[in-house]
Amino acid sequence: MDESQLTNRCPMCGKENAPDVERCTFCHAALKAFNAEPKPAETSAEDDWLNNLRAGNGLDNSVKQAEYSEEQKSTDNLSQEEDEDASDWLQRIGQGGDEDQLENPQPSESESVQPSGDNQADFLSGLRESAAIEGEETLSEDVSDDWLEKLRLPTQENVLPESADILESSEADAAALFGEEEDNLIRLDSLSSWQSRLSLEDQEGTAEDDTSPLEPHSSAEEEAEIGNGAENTFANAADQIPSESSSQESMEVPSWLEDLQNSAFPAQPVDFSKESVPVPDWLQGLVSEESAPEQPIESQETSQPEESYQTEEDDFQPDWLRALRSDTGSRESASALNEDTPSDLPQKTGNEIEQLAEDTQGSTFSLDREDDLSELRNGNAQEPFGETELAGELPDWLKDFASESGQEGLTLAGLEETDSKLEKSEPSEEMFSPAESLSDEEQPGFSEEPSLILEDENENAAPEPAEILSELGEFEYVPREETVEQEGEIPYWLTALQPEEAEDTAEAALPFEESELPDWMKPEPVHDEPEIPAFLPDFEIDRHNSAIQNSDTMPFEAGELPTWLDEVSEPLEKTSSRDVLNSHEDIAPAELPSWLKEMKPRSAPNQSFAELNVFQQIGPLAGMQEVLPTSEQNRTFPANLAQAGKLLVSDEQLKSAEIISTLLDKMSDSAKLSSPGDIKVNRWIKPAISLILMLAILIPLLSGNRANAEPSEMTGPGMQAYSAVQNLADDSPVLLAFDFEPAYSGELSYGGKAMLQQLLQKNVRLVFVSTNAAGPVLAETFLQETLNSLTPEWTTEAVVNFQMRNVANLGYLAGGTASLQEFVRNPQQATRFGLKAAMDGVSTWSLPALNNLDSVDDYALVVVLTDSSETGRAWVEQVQPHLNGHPLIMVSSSVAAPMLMPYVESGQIDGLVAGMTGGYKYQAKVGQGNYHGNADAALKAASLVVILFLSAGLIFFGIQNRRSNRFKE
Amino acid sequence: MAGLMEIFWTIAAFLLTMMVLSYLIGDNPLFRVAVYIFVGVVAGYVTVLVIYQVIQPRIIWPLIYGTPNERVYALVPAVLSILLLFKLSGPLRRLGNASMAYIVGAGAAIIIGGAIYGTIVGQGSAAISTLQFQPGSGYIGRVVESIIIFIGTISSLAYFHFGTRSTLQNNTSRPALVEVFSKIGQAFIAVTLGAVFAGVLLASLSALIDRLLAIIGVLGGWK
Repeated sequence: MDESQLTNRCPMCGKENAPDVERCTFCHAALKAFNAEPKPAETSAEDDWLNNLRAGNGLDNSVKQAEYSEEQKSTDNLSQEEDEDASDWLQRIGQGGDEDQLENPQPSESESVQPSGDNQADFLSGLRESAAIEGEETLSEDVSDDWLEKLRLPTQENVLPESADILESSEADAAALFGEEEDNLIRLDSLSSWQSRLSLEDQEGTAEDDTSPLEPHSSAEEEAEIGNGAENTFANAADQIPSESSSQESMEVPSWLEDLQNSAFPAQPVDFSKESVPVPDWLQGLVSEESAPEQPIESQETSQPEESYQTEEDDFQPDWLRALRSDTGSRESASALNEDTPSDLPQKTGNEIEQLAEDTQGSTFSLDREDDLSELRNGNAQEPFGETELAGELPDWLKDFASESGQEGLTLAGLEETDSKLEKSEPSEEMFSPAESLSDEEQPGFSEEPSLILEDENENAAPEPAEILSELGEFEYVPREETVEQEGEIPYWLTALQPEEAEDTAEAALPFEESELPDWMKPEPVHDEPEIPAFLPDFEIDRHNSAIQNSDTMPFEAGELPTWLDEVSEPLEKTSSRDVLNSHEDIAPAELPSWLKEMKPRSAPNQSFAELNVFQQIGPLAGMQEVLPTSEQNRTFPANLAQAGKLLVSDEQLKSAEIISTLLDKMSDSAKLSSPGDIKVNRWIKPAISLILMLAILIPLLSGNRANAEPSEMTGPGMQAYSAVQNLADDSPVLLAFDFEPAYSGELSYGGKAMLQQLLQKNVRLVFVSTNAAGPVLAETFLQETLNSLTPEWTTEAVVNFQMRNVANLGYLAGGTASLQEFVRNPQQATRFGLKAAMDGVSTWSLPALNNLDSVDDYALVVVLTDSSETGRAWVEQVQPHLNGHPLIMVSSSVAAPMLMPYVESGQIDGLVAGMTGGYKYQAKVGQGNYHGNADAALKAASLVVILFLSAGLIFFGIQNRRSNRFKE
Repeated sequence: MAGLMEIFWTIAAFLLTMMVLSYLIGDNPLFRVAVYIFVGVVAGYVTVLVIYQVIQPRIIWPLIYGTPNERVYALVPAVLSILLLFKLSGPLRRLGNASMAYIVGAGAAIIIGGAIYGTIVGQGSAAISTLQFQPGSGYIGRVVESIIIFIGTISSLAYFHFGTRSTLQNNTSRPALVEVFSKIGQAFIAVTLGAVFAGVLLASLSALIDRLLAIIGVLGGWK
């Protein structure tokens, strides 16, 4: 007794409920419908939902069952209890089916489901896990659901005529067996999991065990052998499917099947044999590739005798099967079964059928668990289970499926049987003889319904196609939905029928290596490029492509993947956004919004962007057509921008605007580039003027000797200066300020050295100071040169003594005019460390030349040598008022002289020796005897030349301006 | 030894002079080298001079060896000098504003005070003194000179007078008297600037002659 029956287990969620509860307390699934029918005591809850399916809820409940199974599949870490539940209901399915059978020649088939329910092949489980991780599980299952739903109804129908063929060509028990095998076909996908496991074990069992697997008490080795046979059966059956279909090309399709066909394959061709009908690629390959092996197999079926047929068939049989055949070749039932079995069916399956036939002798075979199937057969007794009428009425495509399903049903029957044996072999060998081990009540109840079916076949009339369809859906839909979606595995024969969009999923579920697959089942390269909306920008398209590429990556290492998975896992071809844009024929054109259409340029009325195939290449509107293209669009602006609008201005504003315009025109005129002629003039005019000046200077210098010429008499400020110096007493302190740049030393040297010589001759104390950094050094230079000029009158000792006694260099007064103010107020503070003290460490104010010099008015004379009027004025403004009547004379350059003359005229400056000319005169006045008449003549000549140039320039530009003014007027 | 040094410096002066004069044929490396030498020498010299004559004796030594009063006095310019260095950095340049304010304020005060007492009062009193009736030789000339100076001064000031009054006719021209004096002042200013330019020209010619004399002296031994 099943525990679930006692606890009223919900078939939907698997949770236990109270026995009297009509609906599941957890999922609210109807429990009463499953328990409404009186069933054998051992009927499981899964049989209840199957019965519920019969009542008309098969489709919905099957979907729920699929969800339930999917939950169990996706959660790999489910508890062992849940796994056992999953296997229990499958076991109950088998047991419930067995209870309907009076005598079950086979071991309990319910147990054959168990390994498929809880045991998955490792690699498939790994695939499933990885798919669950990447979230692709739902996608793959959805995809498989779609095409499986399309195939579901035709496949269900195919089972029926195939069963009819089997029943037609074999005994009643064998037909019942086939019916059972058809039922097992429902769980075809579940076989693939344990199939691989069995295949590994079969390699050992095949080599060691040659005993017939038909014996009820088979060992584990036999079971492994059976498993291997099942594996080969799958492959061979897949190979032979097209041959069956091609053999029945001329069959006509009944109306009710056409409806089924149309409903199942609305977009598929009705008849594959008719070449005029468009056939999908995946089916074309299927049909064309299998047309070649079709002929010999068909001929074997029809014309060749049994022995020759078997001889021919031996070529397709593996060695173990040949050995097995040799051992069990005497069995007529097996040979008869082989005759009725299509030639491409594996012999091992035939042997299994023989075993089943033998086991079921004397007992009534029933289609296990599926009452609807028996009802269906009862209803279609004349048609599907009749003679060859049904086969003749079937269309080609349906024949393919029918033959395929029938073979699969046979094969799966044996496989599940072996599977059940495998499961039961370990605990006890009694498991393989259920008739002996189980009591009548406990035996699967398959006995009643098959007999009923066979009886009803002759009694019931053919049902309507709609009824057949509904019953078919109720019949096979639920288990198939359950198994396929639960396990996530797709039988390889269904993968061949799978549309291209689900091809990857089917291939991923294939447990075979590609080398074992026939050519027509080998995966074709994937060319399905993702359809990307045209309005997506570049980054969206790239992201979409990258997402597709990432989704193709498998969570396995490269070395772990089998070869056929490597091909599957090959990344899709990269599709860049530019490629997508280029292949805009495949992109659905985006529809422009109205506001964007209004923005379309109207400057190109002749040819629209659509005609030009203009696509926006960049920006957020990339990929859209009929959008203002920034690159191709001609940017035309109004010719006269002033026409855009006029300003309301007054007359005064207009006058101001004219003035500004005139100024701007003048500025633009002045900014004009010089003409080439002007450039040529400028090139030679500067060297020419320079050359002329040089000649004007050199010629007087080199022509004659005017050294002894008498200079003109010095008058005015120069003479005042000479007098101021000449009036100095001996040992009078004289302050000399050297405030000029070294560049003017040549000009100032004449008057400065002459005055310095005069001072030396007066034997005065010389104190040097400067507000210019170069002043102290220039003072030293001037003094040294002056002393040198006094030799040989002055001996070296006299010079040294004079320097030690009468000379003090206070150095540099930092701060410009402000330093003069400081110097006036506190000379010792301003010049605390003179040049000698800084360089030699000698205290400045300890020098004898600075004795009793506490303020500026202590100096008898202040002489300023300057090249700048500002400096001279500063001395006048800052120092002269504090001299207390002492004279202030200046030796200045020609530049500063004009600006200093007012101070001379005002009496603020007591004497001025200006420039080279004043210096020459001063030299002459002093009588140094080094008057340079040639230099004076050169200066005059150069000055004359400069005056001429200035005059010429004034005349030239005056005339030019006059002409320009006339031209403007 | 002194003779060798004199010859060396004479040759150096000659070469540098020729290098500078090479600018007559355009900008060339010799001219640039000479300019770079002058700039470098002057900068180095000024740096050394400032260190030895300003920083060291006015800030460092008073802070180290000075009396307390001298240290206090030396600390003020030291702080102001340090703050002035912040003018070189962007974010902290505002710290140097105090030093700059002190320099500008003190300098302006000194210049304005000197200008008032040295130039305005001095020149004004001199102009007035010429009008004093002192019979003697050259009296008429002095009066004319004083008149010219007076007119020149008034006219020059009038030239830089740009104030006008708004009238009903929107006449923006200056008053007629001011306009007349401005024209006279423009002539005085032109003469003054011409004289300044002539002085600049003569100073330049004097420098050129001095250098040519030096070259000739070196080449011909004539000086």
